[in-house]
Amino acid sequence: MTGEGLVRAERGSIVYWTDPDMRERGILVAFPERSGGVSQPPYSSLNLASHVGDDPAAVDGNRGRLLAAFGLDDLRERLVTAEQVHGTEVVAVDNVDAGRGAFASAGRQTVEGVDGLMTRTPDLPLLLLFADCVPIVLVEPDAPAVAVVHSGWRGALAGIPALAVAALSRDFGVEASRLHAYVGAHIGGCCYQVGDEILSQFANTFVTVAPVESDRLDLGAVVTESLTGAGVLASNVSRLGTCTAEATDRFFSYRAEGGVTGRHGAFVCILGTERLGR
Amino acid sequence: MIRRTVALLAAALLLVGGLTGCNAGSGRAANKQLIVAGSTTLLPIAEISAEQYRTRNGGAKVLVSGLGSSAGIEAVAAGTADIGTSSRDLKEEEAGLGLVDTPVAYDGIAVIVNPANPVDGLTSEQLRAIFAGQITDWSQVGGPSKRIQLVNRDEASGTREAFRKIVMDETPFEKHAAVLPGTGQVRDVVSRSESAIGYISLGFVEPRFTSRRVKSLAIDGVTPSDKTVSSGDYPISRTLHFFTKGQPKGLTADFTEFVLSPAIQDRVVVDAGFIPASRQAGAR
Repeated sequence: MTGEGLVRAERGSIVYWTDPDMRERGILVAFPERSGGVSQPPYSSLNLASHVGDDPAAVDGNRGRLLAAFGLDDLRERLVTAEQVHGTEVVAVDNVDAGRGAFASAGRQTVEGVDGLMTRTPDLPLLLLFADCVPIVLVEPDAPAVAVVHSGWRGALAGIPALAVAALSRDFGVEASRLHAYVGAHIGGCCYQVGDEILSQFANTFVTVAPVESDRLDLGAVVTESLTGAGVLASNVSRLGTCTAEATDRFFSYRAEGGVTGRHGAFVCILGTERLGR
Repeated sequence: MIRRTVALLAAALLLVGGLTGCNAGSGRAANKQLIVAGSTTLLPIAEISAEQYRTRNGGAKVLVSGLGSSAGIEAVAAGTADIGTSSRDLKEEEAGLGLVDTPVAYDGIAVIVNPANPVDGLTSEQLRAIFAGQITDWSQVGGPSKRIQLVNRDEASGTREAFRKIVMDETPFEKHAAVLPGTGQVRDVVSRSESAIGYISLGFVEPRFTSRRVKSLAIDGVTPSDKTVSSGDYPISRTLHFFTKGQPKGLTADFTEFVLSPAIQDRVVVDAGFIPASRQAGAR
């Protein structure tokens, strides 16, 4: 069983949120904050995204620092990232995909056209990038199998959290009731104004959305409902609960920073057996 | 909280305005920076467009903010934004600002009744009188002798606001109508009650997540459809605009073209419940 869910960890100037119990069981889940990197404003400082206009060398430096903070320097070249297109595709990756999108400055392309990556392969670190959209990490520690998912309003409306659970079940035979879900920092219902039309669509689909008094959308509630609707136990969902738009000192916020900013990450890696003794 | 966010956005906009002001002459296209400000209705569409545009055009900075349609029009007129987004048309006093309109989406509001209701159409006047509580029985508009069950939206609703402006004019809504919080609820009640009447965005008349059906009425003899909404023939419709100071040029033109491309129109605009402008290009 997991204990406290996500707790704060600090390695030098890098801060991230992780589940220590899951680490004990051989899975590293991490949601890093924006401090401790080398990027200059408006990307300061731990920007992990190469497509936002930041210096690719700085982005690569930041990714290296992050892996080092996790004690996974040797996996730097195996990092896998995805294009993230606000769609619903979740794909399985394995050793042949190692290093896709690992470097901003050179090397292989990211996994194209997808918003979710999943794997059963040890020592294959997965990283997706966020600034307001909802980061989700799914873990079945005994299989083991992991997934990382990107959900903005379009993905949430199309049910990508539930689709990821279904993909883990379909491709890896994972039972939804055995999954642990982690939801990182995202823009909160306090700040995410979307307009009446989009809110109405969510109200049609999700019972937790009741647009009576505002035109703000709680994407975290929608994602949680999508996950539990797919069979994930509510007691296995851990939410960080921080609103990115209200905490731009700690996280990147596309909305609050006007569209030009960096990206923080959602990270997951099944640790190879030789690491577990450490 | 709300005020703080607005203040932050306003500050961000001012800052950006100031910075680009310093660079006047070199042109924003050279700087690869574009400022899009205005409608909160258009904000989720503008944000995804900006993000995808940026990914495809490395380095082009598109700054997006949602301060409301009026603020967007003001900003583009004053030169502090390159594109002012708006969910309303220009007012008379804004007509002389030299703004050029590029419609990026259309929204039609369908008046819906139960499929069992034999009434197929109403005039704008009849519709207004029904929602004002002056016509109370379906027999007064050619239907069976049955009390009309009014279904309205809550006051925070953008659809209600658009319906109020276009249909009600200055006439107040009947106060005893059922008030529901979402398109889905209005649709559901009307699909179950033979005497009910309500209104929802045209994009939601056909069932998406349910098999229950509703019937949309012709208004002033015009049936609502993508075609009649984008042509302006259907009376209860609105245009979602990009306003620019003069004809769009450079980065502004390029970004606008991207927003009008199938990648945004057929996916993001449709997902948001609107009618793509590209489907009827130049119709209005």
